[in-house]
Amino acid sequence: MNKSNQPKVPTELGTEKIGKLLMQYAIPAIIAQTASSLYHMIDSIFIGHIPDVGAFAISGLATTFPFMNLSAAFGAMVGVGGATQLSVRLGQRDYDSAKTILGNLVTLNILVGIIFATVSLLFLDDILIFFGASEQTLPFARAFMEIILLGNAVTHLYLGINAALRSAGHPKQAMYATILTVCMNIILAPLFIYIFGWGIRGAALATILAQSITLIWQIKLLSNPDELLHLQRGIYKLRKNIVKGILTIGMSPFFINVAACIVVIIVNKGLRSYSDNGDMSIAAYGIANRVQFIFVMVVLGFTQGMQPIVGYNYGARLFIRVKETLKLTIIWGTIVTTVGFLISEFMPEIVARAFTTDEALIESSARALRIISLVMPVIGFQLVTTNFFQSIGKVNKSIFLSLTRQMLFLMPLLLILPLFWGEEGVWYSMPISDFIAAVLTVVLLVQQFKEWRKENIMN
Amino acid sequence: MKNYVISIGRELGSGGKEIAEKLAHKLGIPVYDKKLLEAAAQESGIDASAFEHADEKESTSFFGNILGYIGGSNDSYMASDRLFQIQSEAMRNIAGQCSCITVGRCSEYVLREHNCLISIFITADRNDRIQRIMQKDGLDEQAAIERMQKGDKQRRSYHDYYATTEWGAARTYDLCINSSRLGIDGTVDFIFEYIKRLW
Repeated sequence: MNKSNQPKVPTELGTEKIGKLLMQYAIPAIIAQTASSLYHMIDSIFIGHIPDVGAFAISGLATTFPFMNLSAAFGAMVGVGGATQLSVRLGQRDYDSAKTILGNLVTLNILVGIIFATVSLLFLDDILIFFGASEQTLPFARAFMEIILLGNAVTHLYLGINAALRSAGHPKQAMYATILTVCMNIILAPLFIYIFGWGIRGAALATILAQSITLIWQIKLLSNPDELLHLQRGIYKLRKNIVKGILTIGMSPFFINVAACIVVIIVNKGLRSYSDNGDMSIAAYGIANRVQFIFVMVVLGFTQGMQPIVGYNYGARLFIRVKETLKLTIIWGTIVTTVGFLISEFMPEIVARAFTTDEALIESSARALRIISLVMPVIGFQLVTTNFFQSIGKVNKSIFLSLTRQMLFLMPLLLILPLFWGEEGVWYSMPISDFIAAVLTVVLLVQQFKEWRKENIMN
Repeated sequence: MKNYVISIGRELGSGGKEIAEKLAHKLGIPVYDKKLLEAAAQESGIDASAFEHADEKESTSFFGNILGYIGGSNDSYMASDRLFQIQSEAMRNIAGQCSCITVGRCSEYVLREHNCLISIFITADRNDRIQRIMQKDGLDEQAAIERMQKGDKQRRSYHDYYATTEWGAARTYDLCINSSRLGIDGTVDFIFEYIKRLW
């Protein structure tokens, strides 16, 4: 038999100091999470500073968010499904099956990428108008999306291979790939937008070019025949059982992304119908959303670092350590979102100014940011606790909590509140939904601890 | 004679467990069914209840998948995929050390590289299975039928998720037997003869 070449369960998880462990596991995750959200933020910042047309360009960009969600939905369907299957096979050291999955993953990504792009390009204007674009903003949204869609297969392949690298035991390389793409984008975007004068098209082109270069590097990494898992001939032909397996697992991430897309559409539509200046409000939402997102991603980095520590110690029945890890991660999460809260409440203009030079847009973005961040400190707690339930195998509770904040409460609020308070109703739906979700999270957490106390564990 | 492993897959109510135990007794080697979970627990330091919770159940619920996605990735040691991997590692360690019989848990796939592996699948007539489940679990006929159907579904889904082969299909195993034909003891003797001819 093969010698064991998979790492054993690291027992340090049960003995090392929690604070040290959390940092060790969380920091790489935080870097990876923020890098990808920085990417979108940088695009926004550069586009916002295109002379004369900044505000309309930003609004146009904001109407492409649901499009990006939708594209990400298809990407996640193939990527998550493939990566999960891949890691099961690698865990069993079944390299032949793993290679075929990798090959099928590549083919599926290209296929889905091309089909999605073709259909979208055919109906591009209709879709963008449905997503909230106006006559003024449509040209920018269209110019941006045309390039993004032409490179769609590259984007899917780049993300898919990164997921594969991660499950193939190369999380560092996957992280470098993400960072490399962000750095190239920072260099290429201003070059294309301002120096070459390609405007919003330049931003899209920089994105696709950065991803293409990284993709070449990724393919080179995975073509090394010394690696147990590498690209080779004969693995690309689609196999029915593999495709079926990928799509079955990928179905749920697909729906989650579609739901996220629907939420953005509802927000954009709400702002368009209730605001005096729909384009301006949609642009403001685009900016405020991106700012809040950065802090959320940092918290998600912490929760990702928490997962193995909580999971192991819960499994090993070291409940005192479980509790300590939860407490520490909640503290860190709350610190992060509280910093976000303070920035959003007390200096939103300074933040907004980074994204645009348009005074009216700065003002409305600052207002939007102030409102949607009203209860931001509790979001840290909410995210950490939701993930905590996941780490201890309480799947349904975790799903439920994570759906409440982003959908179950938010969607009805978004539809009802504007009927009474107009545009304000759209903005206030977000903090209200966050707040209710946090209260519910407290209830479920207290309940869980009561249950444990009854079983005489965790005092 | 060198180390050998007999992997027994079985339908719920087919008498597979009893056959495994009797065969083990006859051969003088240990059986690892639920005992495997304890071994995995001991090796990893994770409590056996966690393994039991994920044991031979469908691993791909719709919600379970959503979850894996929301958190970015499910790195928890409570995740079924992770537990299965730890359990497989324990199974390979045991099979590397001594001759034994393994029951279920995709053992014929997990141990596929073992150089002395015999894989067997045990089935039985529908009525015999229902009768056995009624007796063993003290159920009425309707409840036994339901348990049988649920058991088949779970084991198939568990097996086909973690292994690349098809649960209960002849090409997955060296030998497939219907225990209703020869009875429990007859089946044990038959497998015993089969093994003797091989080694």
